[in-house]
Amino acid sequence: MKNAENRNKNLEVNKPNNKIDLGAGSGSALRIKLNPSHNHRGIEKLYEKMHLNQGVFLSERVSAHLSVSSSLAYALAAEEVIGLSIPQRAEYIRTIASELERIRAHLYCIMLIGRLSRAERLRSVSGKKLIEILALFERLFGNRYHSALIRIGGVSRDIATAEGEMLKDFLGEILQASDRMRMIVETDPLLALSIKKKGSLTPEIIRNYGISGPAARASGIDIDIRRDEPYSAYPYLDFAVPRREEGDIFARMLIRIEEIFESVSMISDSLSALKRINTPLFAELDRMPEGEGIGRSESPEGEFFHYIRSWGGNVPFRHKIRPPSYMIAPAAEKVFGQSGIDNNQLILISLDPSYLYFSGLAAESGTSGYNLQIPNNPVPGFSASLKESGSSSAPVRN
Amino acid sequence: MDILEVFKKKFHGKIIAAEAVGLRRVYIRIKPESLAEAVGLLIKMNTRFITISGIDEKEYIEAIYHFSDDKNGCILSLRVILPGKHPELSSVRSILPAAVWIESEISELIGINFGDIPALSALFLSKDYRGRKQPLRKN
Repeated sequence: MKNAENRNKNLEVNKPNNKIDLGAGSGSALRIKLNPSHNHRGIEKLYEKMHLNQGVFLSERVSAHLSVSSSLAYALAAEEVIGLSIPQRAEYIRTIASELERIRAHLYCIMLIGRLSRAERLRSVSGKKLIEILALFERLFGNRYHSALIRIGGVSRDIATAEGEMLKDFLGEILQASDRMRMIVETDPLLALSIKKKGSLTPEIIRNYGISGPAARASGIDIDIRRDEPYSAYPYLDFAVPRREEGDIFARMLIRIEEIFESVSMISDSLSALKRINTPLFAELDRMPEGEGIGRSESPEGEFFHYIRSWGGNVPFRHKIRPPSYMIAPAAEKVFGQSGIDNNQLILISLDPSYLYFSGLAAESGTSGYNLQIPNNPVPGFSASLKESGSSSAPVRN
Repeated sequence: MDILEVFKKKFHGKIIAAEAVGLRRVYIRIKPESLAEAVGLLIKMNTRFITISGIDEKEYIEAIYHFSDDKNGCILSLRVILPGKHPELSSVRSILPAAVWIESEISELIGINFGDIPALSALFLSKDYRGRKQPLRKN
């Protein structure tokens, strides 16, 4: 008895610290519990010890997958407190970076879905472009993910004319690849088996859980911060907000592909605008006055929210962050049960592949346990595997 | 600022202070007792819940409920001020499922007691940390 207690205690200590617990029988989930425990990194507290400019680097590390959107929302919040207006050239460079990030994130998501649903053509088309866009990020902004491009008051790097030309050539290739991806998603009958009518989110779930981004737009909810509360250069750009009604994995994939087309057109318009705008890259930063400010941006996965409370000085008194995954994760519990445990990994990734809150998914089915690994960092070439393990090592908490 | 006018009209007499900052930000201070009613009203007005910011101002604790009015691109923030010692607030999770996580988080990290709900399991902190000083408290 005592040994059993000790063993349970050890399991408690050694189990993966962030995961979703599922109780399942005959392939369908019976009991689902999401458990993000012990994964709190205390980032909000760290802001209280950092200079405003250092906060940008911290914001990027909230989620590498959404590094530009996060640091942009942070800068917008700080600029609201200070009352700083941004030079126009910086606004366009911010927009280009945000849209490139959107393409990067969507390609990553589509590549993962292609890999998990064994759609090799889809995986290879999106994976190839993903590797190229990462190299492009490195060339344009100095790093693949943490480029520190955004700074309070503007941007830290310019996009030279030659770099703009290189980017334009690349956009043409992205358009071709997106056409192919759309064709595959719409016509591949085997892929349709695993993505159509799977993981459907109803508009009620979206509203109840406050979800935004492609997951909301794929369920017929028309929200886009870029259009509703335009920031950076979005007020000057012409773009459509794609929307579908089905709410399943298929709809979310098509929304992401349609958004790539819109992003390409926005980047190309912004590049033309950069040719005629020659302002400085940033406005000088003054001390932060007393006050509060909110910044939000439309990240590839939904609304990224930052709130700053200041009592003067260069350090915020309190900083609050709400990444999009924070709303999607609890709602994901609602869709797991729908279509058997095999599809849960696909559903999660189609909703939001940037899971900050859990890196593993544990399910128990009968006597054998499955440990489904989902990615916790957006590195291409990660291995998403379905490992079979003994039931004793599949930790399930009731 | 349509949303502020509509809210003022429907929530007449229960607002302590209201201000519009710029074109897209509205801050409304209400009494803690009328929070659930105000949140219910905002849900009916088709706003989207964003999050709750909990702030320890040393003498008092502040909770700000942010709602997004996506039609007008405006954020409406409900401000509630609570005493520094034993802050308590009624939970809105029965009418707003999106608030479940953030209420649990604030209860763990700031120490606001959302009294009328069953004991929360540890969401972000480990179980053995419970009962000690909340990490986001200033003192």
